[in-house]
Amino acid sequence: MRAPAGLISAVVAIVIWQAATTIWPLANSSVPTATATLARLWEMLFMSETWASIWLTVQMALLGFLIALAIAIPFGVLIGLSRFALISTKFTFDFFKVIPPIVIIPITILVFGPTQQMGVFLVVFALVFALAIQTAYGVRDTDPVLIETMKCYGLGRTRQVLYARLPAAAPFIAVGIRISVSAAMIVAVVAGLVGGAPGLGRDLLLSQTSGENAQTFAIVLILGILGLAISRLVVLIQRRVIFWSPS
Amino acid sequence: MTSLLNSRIIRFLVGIWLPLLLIWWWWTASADSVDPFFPPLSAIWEQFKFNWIWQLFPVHVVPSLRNLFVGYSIGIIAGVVFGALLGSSRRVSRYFEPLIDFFRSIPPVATVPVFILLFGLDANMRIAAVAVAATFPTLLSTMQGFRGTDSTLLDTGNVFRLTKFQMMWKLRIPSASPLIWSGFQVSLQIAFVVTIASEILGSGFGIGAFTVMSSDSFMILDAWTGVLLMGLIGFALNVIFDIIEKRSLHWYFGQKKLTR
Amino acid sequence: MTTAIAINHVSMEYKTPKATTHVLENVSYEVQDGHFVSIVGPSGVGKTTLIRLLTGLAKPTAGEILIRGKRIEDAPEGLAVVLQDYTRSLMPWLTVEKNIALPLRNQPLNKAERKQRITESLVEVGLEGSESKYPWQLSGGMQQRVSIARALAVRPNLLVMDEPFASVDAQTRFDLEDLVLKVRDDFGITTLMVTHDIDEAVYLSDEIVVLYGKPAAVRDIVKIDIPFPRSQMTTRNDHRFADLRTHVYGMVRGLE
Repeated sequence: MRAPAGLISAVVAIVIWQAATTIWPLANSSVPTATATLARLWEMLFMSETWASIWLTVQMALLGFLIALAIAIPFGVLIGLSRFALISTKFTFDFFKVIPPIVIIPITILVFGPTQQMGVFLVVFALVFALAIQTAYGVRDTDPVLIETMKCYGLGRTRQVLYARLPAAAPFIAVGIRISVSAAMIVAVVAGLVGGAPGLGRDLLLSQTSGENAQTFAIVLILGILGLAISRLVVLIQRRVIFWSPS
Repeated sequence: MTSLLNSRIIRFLVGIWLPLLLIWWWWTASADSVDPFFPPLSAIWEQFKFNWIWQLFPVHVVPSLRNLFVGYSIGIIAGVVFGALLGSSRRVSRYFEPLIDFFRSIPPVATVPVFILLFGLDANMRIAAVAVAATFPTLLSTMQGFRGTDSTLLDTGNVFRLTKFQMMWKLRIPSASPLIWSGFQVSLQIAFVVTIASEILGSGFGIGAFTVMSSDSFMILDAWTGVLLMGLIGFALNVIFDIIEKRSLHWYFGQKKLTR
Repeated sequence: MTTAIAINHVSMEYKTPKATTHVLENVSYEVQDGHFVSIVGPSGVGKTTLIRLLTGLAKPTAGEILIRGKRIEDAPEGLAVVLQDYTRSLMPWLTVEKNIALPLRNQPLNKAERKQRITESLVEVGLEGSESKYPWQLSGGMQQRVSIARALAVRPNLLVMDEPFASVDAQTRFDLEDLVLKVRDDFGITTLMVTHDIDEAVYLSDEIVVLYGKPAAVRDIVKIDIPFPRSQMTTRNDHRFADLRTHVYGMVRGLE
């Protein structure tokens, strides 16, 4: 039942868009018609530049995500093991966690220039603090009874981490990862759009400033489809991997 | 050690040593810096005071905050209204959900060029972009909140013959409020980012525009003060939000604390 | 004595695209004014469905229910409920006082009268002084007392309780049962209670309706002729009590 409803609403939305841009109120405005946009989108699908841009953006997001993960999980486990470490880092991490990466673009652009490295750096900056906090809370959340039991059986710290704390943190990390992947894509686009890093973001900026309006809209559509596809993919993978967690 | 950490004052002191250390380290390490991109923190601080207390404040900070608050307010009101509508009727939401799913998958900042096409480069463009970006998180979580209203609670309200108005204001909305508030928070963060992005891309006034223009023209100190100010504002917004949320949802946090 | 509730030939089925579940079949029964009636039956027999019909939350597929001669269309006036799940029927965002006040807002009372009602009800259930607490700050038994106070505050002429004591511990349960007896003594409200606890039903009721079968029908109506006042110490040791509970138990189990 869902797909037809989605199809109907998509068609209706496109019809409204077309009507608005040909009849009223956006006729002869700079807003492109639905048909022009979709035609442009169709053309772009057969251009290697489009796919190169998509790949560049995904690459920045993926690389940044993996680096953030590699830093955040060990670090999160470490600070999660001690209440003192957790409280010591809480304020600092919370501070950086809520600072959006767009804020530091004016500096990163000076240091890195409008490059892919800048994009990757911004993605890491955007994800690493939230992921570390999430991991630390997961590790802290381990059932104390489980730890006591393991101590009673004489199991050491390493085993406690491997067999109790990490599995307990896994659902927390999974939530963190799900949010992070979408965030990584967004930041990779922002890095291009605002900081000039190569990829879809920069393409978007260039087509907007050069007045290629149909292409501007087409790229926004591509970003929407890409974002949707990636978030679906992550949910799909996580359902397979973390089967013991209900969400 | 652990028992000491139960005291609030000790926890505060433990929480503050690392930030202080980092600032001190930045201050001393950068003191003799000749790297053009990393000027001494002391110089940045002097420039910060010169710029923002209060010379450039009315020119750049005030319009930024105004756009942010106007856009954000419109966005969350629209989000709650539509979220409540869609959350109350499965039949309606079935048609809208796929579209909403699609629109929220577009990076919010990427919609700024679209709004520039629609509105040009003026303040309305910025407010519209912020409002639309702020709508989606609130809409989604309000919808989820309304769907999750406990059926026993609704039955109770019906049996006690509450009016439609009372059902809405005393029952459905409070019951959805924890989720609505978490939507508000995400909306605020996104609204802040879009405010800055719309200034950078829409060229003109605002902290974002100031900072990027400084950076582009190698006014490094000015760029740093802009970054610092934006960071502080972003953090302050979150802190203020947390305080208001804790006040409004004290019943929720109280309950959660007890069940832990 | 007049009839408070008349259940006339009520049948109820739930239709899903795949199947039709027949829950109640031609149930007829009359509750006399001022009586305390318990409805017992094996689990899943349709007791809760009957509650939903009585409170106007669902409509029967056949037959009708009259309250004081008036057919139930919506939630009936003058009816109050106490549900099993107090955590989900009290609003966690309202204090005890405001929880009780909420249904009172639609009654023609001024502020002072409303306040008076709330205080009286809380005194009746032994919770005076808890006005400004939140439900979740109270124990389960105390929360159920708040539910009862909320029901009493509307001055109902009909009280419906769905497994009211099923979620509290045994000791609290006895206390709440005695509270219900006291309330009944003080107000004489016609009360209908659904329970799966046969001892409780015998201890509290004037009459017990046994539902049995699929779809469920009234299998028997048992008059409880144990004199009032009843007490946990003596009534439960009474021979008559033992006989009645054995009899009802047998019927619920389908042994008689």
